[in-house]
Amino acid sequence: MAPPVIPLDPRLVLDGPLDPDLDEIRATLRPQRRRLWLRRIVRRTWLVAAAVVGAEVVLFAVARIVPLEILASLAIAIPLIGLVFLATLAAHARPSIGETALAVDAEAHLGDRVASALALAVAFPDAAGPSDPDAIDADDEPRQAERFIRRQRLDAAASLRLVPAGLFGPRLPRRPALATLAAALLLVPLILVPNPQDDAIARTQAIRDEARHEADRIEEVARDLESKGTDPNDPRARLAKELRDLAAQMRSKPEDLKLNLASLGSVEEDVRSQLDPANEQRASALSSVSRALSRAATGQPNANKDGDPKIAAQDLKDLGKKLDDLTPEQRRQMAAALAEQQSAASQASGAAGQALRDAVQSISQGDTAAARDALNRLGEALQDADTTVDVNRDLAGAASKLQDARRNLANAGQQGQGGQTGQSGQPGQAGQGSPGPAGQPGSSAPAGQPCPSGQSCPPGQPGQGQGQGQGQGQGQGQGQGQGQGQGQGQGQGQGQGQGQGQGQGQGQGQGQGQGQGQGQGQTAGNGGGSNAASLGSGVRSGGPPAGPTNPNRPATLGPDLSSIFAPFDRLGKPGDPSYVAGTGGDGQTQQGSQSGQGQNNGAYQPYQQVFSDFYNYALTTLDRNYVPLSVKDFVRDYFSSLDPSH
Amino acid sequence: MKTPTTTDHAGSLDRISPETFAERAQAIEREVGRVIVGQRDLVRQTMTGLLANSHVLLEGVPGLGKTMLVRTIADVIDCTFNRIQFTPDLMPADITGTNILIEEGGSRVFRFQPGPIFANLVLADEINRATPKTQSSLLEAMQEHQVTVARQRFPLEAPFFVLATQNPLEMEGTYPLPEAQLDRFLFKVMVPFPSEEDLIAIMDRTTGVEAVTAAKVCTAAEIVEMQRLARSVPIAPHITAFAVSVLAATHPDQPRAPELVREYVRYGASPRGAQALVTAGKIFALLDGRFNVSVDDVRAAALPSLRHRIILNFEGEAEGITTEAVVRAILDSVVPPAIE
Repeated sequence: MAPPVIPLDPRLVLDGPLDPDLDEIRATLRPQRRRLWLRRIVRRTWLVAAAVVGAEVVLFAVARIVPLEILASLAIAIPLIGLVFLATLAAHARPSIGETALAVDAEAHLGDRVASALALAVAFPDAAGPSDPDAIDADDEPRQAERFIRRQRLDAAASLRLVPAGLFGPRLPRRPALATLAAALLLVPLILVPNPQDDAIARTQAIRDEARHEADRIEEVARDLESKGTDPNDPRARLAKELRDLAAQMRSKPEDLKLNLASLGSVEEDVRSQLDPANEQRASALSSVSRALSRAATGQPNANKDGDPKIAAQDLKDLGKKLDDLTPEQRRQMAAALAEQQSAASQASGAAGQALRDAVQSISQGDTAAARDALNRLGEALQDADTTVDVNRDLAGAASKLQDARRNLANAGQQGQGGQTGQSGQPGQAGQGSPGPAGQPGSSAPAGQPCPSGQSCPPGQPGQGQGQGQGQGQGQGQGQGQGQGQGQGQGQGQGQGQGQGQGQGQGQGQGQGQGQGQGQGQTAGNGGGSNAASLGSGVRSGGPPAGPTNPNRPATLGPDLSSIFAPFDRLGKPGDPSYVAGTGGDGQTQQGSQSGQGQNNGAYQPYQQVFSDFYNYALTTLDRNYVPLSVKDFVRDYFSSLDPSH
Repeated sequence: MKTPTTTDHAGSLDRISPETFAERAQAIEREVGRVIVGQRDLVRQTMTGLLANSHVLLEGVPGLGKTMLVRTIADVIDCTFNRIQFTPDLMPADITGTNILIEEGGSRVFRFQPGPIFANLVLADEINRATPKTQSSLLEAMQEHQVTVARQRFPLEAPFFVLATQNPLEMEGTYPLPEAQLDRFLFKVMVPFPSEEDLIAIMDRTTGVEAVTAAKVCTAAEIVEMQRLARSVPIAPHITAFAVSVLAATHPDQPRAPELVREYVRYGASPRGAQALVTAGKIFALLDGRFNVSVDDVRAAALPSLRHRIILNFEGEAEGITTEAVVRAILDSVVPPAIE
C-alpha cells in the first residue's frame, strides 16, 4: 500500500488524547485552513468565470452560424451551471488539515516541519499522545525515535507560531483572469452586433405562432361546419373532420411550413373541387323564382320579398289547397303565371323545373290533385335547392378561410426571408361570367339654359344620364406553369341612354396550363365603369393540383412558394395601373329649348351615404363565394381607400 | 597486532542531541574549510557520506584538492587514515591484506597482515586505474565493513569511510568502475574547478612558508555517535513516498518516468538510490537544524545520489545526454504533494 501523499489528521485516525503540541499545531492550522479554502474558492471562481465566459463566447459564436432558438435560455443556463459547478468545486476545495500543513510549509518555507509533525504522529501512534517522562531518558531505539518525534513536533509548533495569520491571502490567478478578460472582450461584440440568425429564428417563431393561430381558426371553422352539418353524410361534417385533423397536425408540427402549407392546400383543393361554380347563379335564380312563385301563388305583388324558398314552398302548398276553389279561368291564369317561371325554376333546380312543369300542366288540365302534388314537390325541390346553396356557401366560406390561413402562414414564413423557391402554380378557376344587372334608370334633365339665337351662350351643363345599363364582361385567364401566370380580365359596359362606362381591369393569376374564362362587367346607368378586374383564370391541363394561383408573383421568388400566395403589397393599391376605375359617364348635353331648371331626380347620392351598403355587400359576397385571393385583397383595399371615415 | 573491530566505539556511546550533531558538523566543516578553499558543497557532501556511514566517489581533474580533502578530514577527525594509489598492477591482497608465513615459537604459522583497507578513512586514489578484480576487492569492505581472507572474516573499525577519486581525463588504460561497485558509493561528487577568488586564496595559503593545518575537533567515536543519530531521524511517510517516486522515475519502464528517461536511460537506479536519498536527506536535515526530512532535502540529495546509478543507453551516450540532466528532468517531473 502506497503511503499517503497528504498527511492525515491525527485526530481522525487516533483515539485518545493527543500531545498538547500536536493539538496546538492543529489549532493553529484551523484559521489557516479557512483562509486557504477561501483562496481556493477565489481561484476556482476565476476558473469557473473563465469557463463560463468562454462557453458564452462559443455559444454566441455558434449562434451566429446556427439559428439557436434557445440561445437566451442557454446563455442564462451556462452561468447557472457555472454557479452550481462552482459550489461543488468550493465544497470539494475545502482543504484538510494535512493539506493545510503542506501549504503552510510551502508558503512559509518551513521545510515540511508541520506536515511531518502530523504525518509522524500518525505513523508513530505511541508518540502522538502526551509525552511520557520515562521516554526522555530511555536509551532504546524506539524511545529514541519517540524523543526525536516529540522534538520535531515541538520544533514544528514553534515554527508555526511564527507564521503570519494572513499567510493565505486571496490571490488573483493571472491566467484565469486574463482568459476571462479576453473572453469577455470577445463576448461583448458577439452580443452587441446584430445576429443574422435572429431573422431566421423570428421567422421560425412566426411560422410556429401563425400555424397555431391558424389551427385555432381552422378548428373554429370546423366547429361552425359541424354545427351546420349534423348529418354524417353532409359534406360539411366530412370537411369538419378533415379540418380537425388538419388543425391537430398543425399544432403537432407547427414549424413544418411546407407540410402545413401542403396539407392546407390539399384540403382546400378538396373543398374547392366540391364547389358548384354556378352556386350563386343558382341562388339568384332560386331567390328569383321563389319570389315570383310566391307572388304568383298568393297574388300579392309584395309577397316573399326576400325570395325565401321556404315561404315559397308554403305559398305553393297553400296554392295547392286553393286550386279546387279556383275557376278555370283563374287556373289558366295561374298556370300561365307559373309557366313564366319555368326557365328560372329550371335554372335553380332541375327537380324544381320538372315539378313546375308538371304543376303547370296539371293546373292547365284541371287535375288539381296532381297539381297539388306537383306544387308540393316544387316546394320541396326549392327547399332542397336552398339547402344545396347553403352547403355550397359554407364550403366556399371554408375554402376561403383555408385560403386565408394558407396565405397568412405563407406570409409568416416569408418574413425576413428572401428568395425562397416557390411552388408550382395551381390551375386557375374558370372565369365566371354573368350578365351585369341592369342599370338603374336615369332621368334626363335639361341642364342647359335656353340660349336665344344670336347670343353667346354659356356652355351647357352636363346632362344626367338616363338609361339602362347592360353589362358584358369577358374574362380571360392565362396561366403558365412554373409559378408564373398572367390573366386578364376585361369588362365593358354600355349603358343605354346617356351613360357610358368603360372599364378595364388587369389582374394576374397563376396556374399550370391555360384557361379561359369570362369576367363580369357591370355598368351603372350613370356611366360607372366596369370593375371586372383580375378575374383571370385558367384550367389545368394536366398534372396534379398544386397551390393556389399567385398573381403578380415575381419570378425571382423562385418556384416553390410562388404559386401559394401573393404578398398583400404586391397586389397593388387602389389606383395602381392594375385597376382602372370606371370613368363617369358623360351625359350628352342637351340644349334645352325651354327655360327651366334641372331637377335632381335622386340618381346622384353622396357616396358617404351609400358606401357602407356597397362595402357590406362586397364583404358578404367575398365570404359567400369563392373569390380568388388577389381579388379579395383587391376589393378590400379598394373599399378601404374609399372609406369616408379615413 | 591488535585486530580492529567495529564495536570498539559503538557500544559505549552516549546519546547526543541534534544540536550537538549540528555543532560538530559545523566544526568539522569549519576546520576543513581552513584548508580547503571554497568547495563548500564538496565538503558538505563528503561529510554527509561520512556521517551516513557510507562512501563517496569524487570525480575531478587532478589538482583540485581531492586528496587534500580526505587528508584534512582525517586530520580533523581523530581517526586512522590510509591512502591507496590504485594502479593497474595493484592486487586485491595489496588492499585487503594477506596471510604471511612467519616463525613464531619455533614453528611457522600463517598470520594475517592487514592491508591499507583497515583504517577509518581510506582514500582510494584513482580507483579506476586498477583492474576490476582489484576494484571488486573493495566491495565486501564497503558494503559489509569486513574483509574475508582465507575464509576468515576481519571486521573493519568504525567509522569506515572510503573516499575514492577518479580522473575523468586520461581514460586510456583505465577500468571504469562496474555498476555494482558504483552502487556502493552513497554519493558521486563532481569536484568543480575553483573560482578565481578561491584560486587566489589557494595561492596565498599554499605558496607561503607557513602551512595551514586543521585542528582535530572530533573523534572517531563521536562520528559513530553522529552516524547513529542521523539514522534515528524519523522521516514522514509522504517524504519517503516522494523519494521513492524520484527513484521510480529513473526507470524508463515506469509510468511516471519523464520523456528523457524513457528515451535515453537503459537502467534506473537501484533501491540503494532511494536509501541514499533518505539517508542523505536525514543528514541534510540535521545539518540544517531540523528534526525532520523535507522534500528539499531529498531534492538536494538527488543529484549526487543518482547520477552514478543511472545508466544511459546508446542513444543517450551518442546524444551527449548526461545523467545530471536526467536527474534534473526527474526532479522537474516528480512534484511533491502540490497544494494550491
